[in-house]
Amino acid sequence: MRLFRTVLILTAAVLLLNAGQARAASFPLSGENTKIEFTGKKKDGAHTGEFKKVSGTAKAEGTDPTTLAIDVTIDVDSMVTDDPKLTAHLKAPDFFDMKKHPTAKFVSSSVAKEKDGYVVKGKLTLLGKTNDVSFPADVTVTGDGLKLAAKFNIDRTAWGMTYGKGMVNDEVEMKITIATK
Amino acid sequence: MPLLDLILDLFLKLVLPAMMASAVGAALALLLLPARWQPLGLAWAVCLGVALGNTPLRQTLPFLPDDTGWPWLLPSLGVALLAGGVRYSLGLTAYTSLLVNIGVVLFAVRRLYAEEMLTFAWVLPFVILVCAATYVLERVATRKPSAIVPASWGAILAGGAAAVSILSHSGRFADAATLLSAALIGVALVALWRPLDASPLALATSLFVSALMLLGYDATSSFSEVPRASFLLVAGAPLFLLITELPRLRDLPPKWQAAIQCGLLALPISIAVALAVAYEGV
Repeated sequence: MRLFRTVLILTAAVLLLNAGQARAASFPLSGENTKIEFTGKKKDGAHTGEFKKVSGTAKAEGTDPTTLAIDVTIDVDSMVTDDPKLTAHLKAPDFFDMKKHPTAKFVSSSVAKEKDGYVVKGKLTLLGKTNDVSFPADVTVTGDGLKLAAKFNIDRTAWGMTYGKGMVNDEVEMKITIATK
Repeated sequence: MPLLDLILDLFLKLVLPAMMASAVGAALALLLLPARWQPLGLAWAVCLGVALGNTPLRQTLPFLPDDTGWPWLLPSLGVALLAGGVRYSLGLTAYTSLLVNIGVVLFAVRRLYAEEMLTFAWVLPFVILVCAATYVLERVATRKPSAIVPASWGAILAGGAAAVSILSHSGRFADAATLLSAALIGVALVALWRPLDASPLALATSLFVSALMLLGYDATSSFSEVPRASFLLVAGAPLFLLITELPRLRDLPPKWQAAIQCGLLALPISIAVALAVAYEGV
């Protein structure tokens, strides 16, 4: 009887432990599963681009998106756009100043449930300056995967990216897609 | 934006204010100041031109930098202009002037260079280059005060720096070079009316152009095909003017001397731009 009780307790403990482990999931983020695209507009058109190399992690408890924590670093040199000359210009001191600031970073602080989905809040570091950002997102967390889709605008001048003001719009449209599985 | 609109935008918002402000400033300096303080007035005029050309509308360079590196270009130019003006107004000796020049260049280097570049191997050649280029520009300017001197510095030297910068994808540095170019041409406009000695502007010109070329190469070399030689040729272009020290050339009529000065500056600049175009394309 004592042996049976011990086995029962040990089984319960193992089950609880496993359940706990299943709740806390960590998803590695890379250029393979994370797309960070942007569209910049000017008077007579628009250009799109994306960052091919990103690295970081997304962590979530179980399947609850509000527990999601994202930490992602973006390699500015991996930027590509629809025009190679523009890509080079964006890497210059006029915009991303890649030599001085080779990476950008986003760290989420909270994910809150709203009427039409979720709102992700966090800090975006660009050109060495960190600002708060928040954006609506569709988030789905399953036991073995994370899906996130977001489209929002940021004001590039808030990070000191002021070059071309008046010729290039201050607002830049961002499109983020994460699909770890 | 179509190219013509871009050029018009640059002209109206940057070139015209810089040129007019420095012209008005230089004219006022010549009219109102006693001869002794005119060099300082001239330096002030170029400062005024650059400041007004660098309107908040275009946001070319920050007046108050919040970081090391290129944001210090404008304050470095201001310090070099002030030093040049003070040197000539106070009539400092050649030895003291050299010390002042070295001090100004070291100040600029400390602010403009990235930490990893603050080494003997990077700093010494830059100090020697700027001081040598300043010496040559001053020699040319004092020999025969005329409009052609500031005009050639502005249109050819700073213009060449702008061309190489834009070809290496840095519009900001091209705008910065255009600022100096416009301000110097503004001074040249006044010199057409009353010939002036542009020597007090030599240190600022050589420092600003050399710094732009060094920073431009450093910031863009990882993604631009413009060769290092293009940047070096522009930064070192004033040294070609040493040829004008040859006795035979010094005895030529002023018009010929002016043509030779322009040609000697234009030669390395043309090669620099041609190389940049060949490697990077337009």
